[in-house]
Amino acid sequence: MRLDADHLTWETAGRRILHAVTLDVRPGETLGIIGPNGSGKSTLLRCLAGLRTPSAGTVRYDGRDIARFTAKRLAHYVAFVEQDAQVASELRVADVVMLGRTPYRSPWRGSDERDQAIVAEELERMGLSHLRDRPWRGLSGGERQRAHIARGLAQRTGCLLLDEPVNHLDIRHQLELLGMLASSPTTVLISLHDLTLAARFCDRLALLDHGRLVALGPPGEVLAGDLVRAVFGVDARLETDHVGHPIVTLHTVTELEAPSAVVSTEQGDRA
Amino acid sequence: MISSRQADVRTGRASVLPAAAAVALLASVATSLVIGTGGIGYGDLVSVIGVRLGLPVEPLAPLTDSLIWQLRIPRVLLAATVGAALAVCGAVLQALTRNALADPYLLGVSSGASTGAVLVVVTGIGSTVGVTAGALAGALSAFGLLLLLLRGSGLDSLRVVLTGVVVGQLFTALTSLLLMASGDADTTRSVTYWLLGSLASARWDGVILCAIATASALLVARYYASSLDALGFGADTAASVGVDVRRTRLVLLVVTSTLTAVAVSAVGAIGFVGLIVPHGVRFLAGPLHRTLLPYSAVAGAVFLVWADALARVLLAPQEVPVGVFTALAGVPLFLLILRRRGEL
Repeated sequence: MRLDADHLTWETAGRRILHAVTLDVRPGETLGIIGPNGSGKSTLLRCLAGLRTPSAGTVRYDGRDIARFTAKRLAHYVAFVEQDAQVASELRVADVVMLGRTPYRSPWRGSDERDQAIVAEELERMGLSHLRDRPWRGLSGGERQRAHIARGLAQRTGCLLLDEPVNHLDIRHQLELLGMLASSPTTVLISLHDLTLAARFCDRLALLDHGRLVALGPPGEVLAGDLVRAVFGVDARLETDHVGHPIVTLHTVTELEAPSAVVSTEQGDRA
Repeated sequence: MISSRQADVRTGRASVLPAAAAVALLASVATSLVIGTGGIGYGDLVSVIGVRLGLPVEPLAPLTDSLIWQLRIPRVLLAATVGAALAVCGAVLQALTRNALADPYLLGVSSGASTGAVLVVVTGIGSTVGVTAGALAGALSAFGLLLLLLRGSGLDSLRVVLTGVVVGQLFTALTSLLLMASGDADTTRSVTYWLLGSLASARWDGVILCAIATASALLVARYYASSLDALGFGADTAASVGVDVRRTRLVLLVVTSTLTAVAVSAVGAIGFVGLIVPHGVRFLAGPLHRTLLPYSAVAGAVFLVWADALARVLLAPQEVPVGVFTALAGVPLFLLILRRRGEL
């Protein structure tokens, strides 16, 4: 599914959080959204998911403007997985994943066999089958995050938006999840803090700074220039590891300056 | 292994629960009908109802017959419908506010309904419909004020119960002021007794109004059952699975206000039913609203029928307002929930 946003602007309490963001995501593409804290990543995802009404601009799925969509129709196009999974619920894990089938069920009907099969499949995909009857309150942070992602996948939408989906996951699950998302035919937008993961699994990266889209392109382009240094205040170097995966080495600007500073002090001492 | 056994227990319960619920409700109503003054037996009940149905049964003495038909039966049925109404309101409000402590009494909605009803009573327009309309206006005002005070932090804010208690106190004070201003000692005495929550004045018209309101509200709430499940994960997650959050909240707030108003105008403000019952039902039937709502209705009916039976016989011939018993049961549970949330 194709997703495009045109001059998307969002304001709250007189503050402009998003400034005319325009981007176009191709069908099946995995787009990484990167940027420092408060740069507008979550807000952008929420506007794209139709959860916030933009102050200006439009969001289109396959060319259709979502402004006139009902909540239910929108849920057939896009699934959104929130960042904060800390909710005290008494539902079982399978019930939580079943919430993803809500847009396809009539209010009077329970789940049918197809719903059950999809839920079982997504639980299996997220490695949660053994926890399906556990109550939500007993899960770890990572298990909750995986259950929420399974719920998003169970929605079977053409587009999946995930806000920092790996922040509670252990390393193996991070790699498995991102590998699965990157290779899926679904259009995926994903906000990430880890630039190495972003470089390895995303087709393109969108770099946000103070609510503005300052770069949009392949990881090699976005991470290679001086932009990362200007936006994050760190020095990033894109390298390749021994199996050919990209790896981003990071240094704070002071770290890079420190050796020369030490040298100059020594020189000063000597002199 | 453990999980499949849990699933077996669940499906086992699912097949037994409907029958168990029906039996519990019928047995409670039947038992409560013969408890109390008048020495009524099951045979008397059969004959009173048989006569109404035109069956060839021996009619009772007119006095006993009217005691049973005009007082006891409406009273027990009203206890059942009001109990169901308050439990459904509690279950819905707990989901909407994402707060295990929410109930129409603790959120101040019952107090608002009382104020509205008392206003109608003291001004003397008091028909059943007038009192209910007044209670509805009061309940909606209380809800409006609650939402106004929670503006910015949202309906599912942690402050919702605290704010609700403040709203309740305000309306309780207004009710007292209205009563004092009316200056009629008889009105004051009867209204004060009613305010504590009592089923003593149950009549058939109240039963019918309350039963219709409860059944309709249960149907509407049941329509939104999966939306309520999703709202447990917050407005954004609910919206992303296709729930129209604004409409769901608006419809269900109006429905619970209306139902609370109908219940309060029939029997006064009976507290804690909406708090206690859904918690017990979640334990037995699970947290999904598709089952939680109907079973809460049944369990609420059973609970209030027994509380009222106790109210009639404990200090007989003196009658205790039933709200006293529901509060005695509800306060420890309130403390237990607070403690489990680590706020005490």
